[in-house]
Amino acid sequence: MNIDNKKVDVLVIGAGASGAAFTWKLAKSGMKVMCLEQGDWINPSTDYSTSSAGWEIHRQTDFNPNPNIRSLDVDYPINDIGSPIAPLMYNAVGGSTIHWSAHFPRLKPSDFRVKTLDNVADDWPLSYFDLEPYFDLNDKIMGVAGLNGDTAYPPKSPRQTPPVGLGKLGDKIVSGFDELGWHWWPSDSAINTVEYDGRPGCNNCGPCDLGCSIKAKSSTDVTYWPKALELGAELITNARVREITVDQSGKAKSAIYYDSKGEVKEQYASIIVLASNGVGTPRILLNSTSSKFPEGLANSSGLVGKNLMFHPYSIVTGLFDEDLEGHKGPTPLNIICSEFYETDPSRDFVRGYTYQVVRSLAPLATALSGHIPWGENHHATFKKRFNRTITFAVIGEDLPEIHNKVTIDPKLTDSFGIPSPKIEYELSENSRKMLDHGIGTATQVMKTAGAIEITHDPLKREAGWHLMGTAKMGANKDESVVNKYGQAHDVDNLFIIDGSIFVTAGAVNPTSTIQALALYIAEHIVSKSREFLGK
Amino acid sequence: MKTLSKNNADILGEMVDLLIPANKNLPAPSKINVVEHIDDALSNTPKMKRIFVEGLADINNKEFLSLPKMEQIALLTKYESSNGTFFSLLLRHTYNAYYTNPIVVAGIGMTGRPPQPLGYTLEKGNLTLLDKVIKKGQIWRNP
Repeated sequence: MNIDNKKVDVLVIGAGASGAAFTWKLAKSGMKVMCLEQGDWINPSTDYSTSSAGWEIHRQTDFNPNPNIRSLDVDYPINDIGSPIAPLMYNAVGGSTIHWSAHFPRLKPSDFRVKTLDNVADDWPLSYFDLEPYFDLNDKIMGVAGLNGDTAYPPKSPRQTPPVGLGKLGDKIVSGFDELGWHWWPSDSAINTVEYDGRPGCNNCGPCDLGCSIKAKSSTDVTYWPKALELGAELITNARVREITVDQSGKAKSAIYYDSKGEVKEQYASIIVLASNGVGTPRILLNSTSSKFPEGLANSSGLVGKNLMFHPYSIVTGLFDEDLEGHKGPTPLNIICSEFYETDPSRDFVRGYTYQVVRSLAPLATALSGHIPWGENHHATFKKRFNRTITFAVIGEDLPEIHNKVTIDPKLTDSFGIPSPKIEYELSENSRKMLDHGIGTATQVMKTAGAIEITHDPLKREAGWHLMGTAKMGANKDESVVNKYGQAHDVDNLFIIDGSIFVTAGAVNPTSTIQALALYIAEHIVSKSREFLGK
Repeated sequence: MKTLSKNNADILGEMVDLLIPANKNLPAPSKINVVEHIDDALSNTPKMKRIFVEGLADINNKEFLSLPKMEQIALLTKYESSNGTFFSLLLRHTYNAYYTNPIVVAGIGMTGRPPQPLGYTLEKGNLTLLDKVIKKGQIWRNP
């Protein structure tokens, strides 16, 4: 083993949404911070496919969001046979922000108080308003397109750039919301719509999920990382962490990882921080067994890997009898409907859901949608569908349940022999009722807007983008893994900053909240640096 | 061809033209190198190559090329249900090649170029309809 004796103050594992924000904040404070990332850098101007004719095919291969399908060298396989939802992620500098659609809504104030308000799950040990300054700071660094005044949120600081355009398609669907008198708003997006912070405005090319070659989309490889590196942070790519070791007193001592050549290395640090997502983080903790922690690191509660939450998605698609120019503009239109977000006692489920609007499918995706027959009627059916569909992604709040979990698969490993995760997940009755309600209301909007045909997928399988809850926050060490500062109850120099620590999921995309939490935790560590570092 | 024999390439050409028949605006797949595209994909994927070679051999045994068009279509319809793995791979790779071809992309009403670097012009849209939402006032729940 190659032991690197240059001990660092803080070692972060994972260079995605949370790891990037956290590393920047610590580097800014002058701490010596290093980040290990198992993927590599992507060069936006040469590595993305959207300037080539075959760009859509990359969704099936090297840019598929499912690591089991993508199967790149930097990925690890996941046993997801026991889950109706497939976990999705990307491994690179920037993490899953590389392939995300840049939805950037915040969780709402009620999301942090579900026990008090609705007597379900647990309250978070902190509030929306505790996080508010960090939401604002994060928005400033990431660059957020949006429109102030959304009635579904407390007032926010000014958005950095104007909202993503609605286009003809947006105007069409908004007419449905308007007639019903339901809430809709141009939701926050981490996309520059005009030049901001040295990056250009979006040119509305469409497929954000295949990476943004012009850097208008605010993936963290083009936002936080250049700033963090300039401040002196060190980033080691192709570093695949096997385990975290502890010393005799039970403190985290080092991370053992494989470099790109498969050589085992060990990196010491005063503080170790996990930022490897809601599946990757419990995987590392459960793989880090020792005599002091035989059930996995920081797992005296037995809750590491438990309470896995996705956001279950139902998909509702309306077909219209006019060309909506649905290929123009970011595919995620970023209209959000929060009409059904909060609990309503007259419904047969607690908590709520949103839906987001998605523009029409691109040509190949249209052909492969399952709606276009082969043979004589192929072209006529294609013509009636292409550029004429609008889709709602109904996103339900998934409540934590102990049987939904990440464990270590007894057989499956990655190419370096590191044991892989196994997912077991069942959709709850509450979530099913919620999604069914969402399918009903989404269908109403489609009809009102003039859809001539409406279809739906009750539970989208390839939709496990949001990985949460597997190392939850809380005040009680028997009922949670980390405290309100992401600090492990069992190991006081070990922190977790990704979606694992979410107590509940809310019903919106989590990235903005994950990053705000990471900045909040970083601020705490900086304020206590003497205590943690002994200097 | 990298992988397919001439006979298999001929069968495949006939098949893809039945899956996506030409019309006055859009070409037959065999005329825009869809067969070559599939052959190229097969050369990189041994498992898929095996499925195709076995599937095409089976089709060949039915003397596919000499069948009348309606019988060819009936045979493909039968394959769709009886040999789903082969058929779904055939359909996906036919669509992959066809709908990423600039001639086809232009023929369906787009510009025939990929999304970048030029992108598209997008209208801002009508945000005045938000007035009704604003008039309804706060809907977030203050805990």
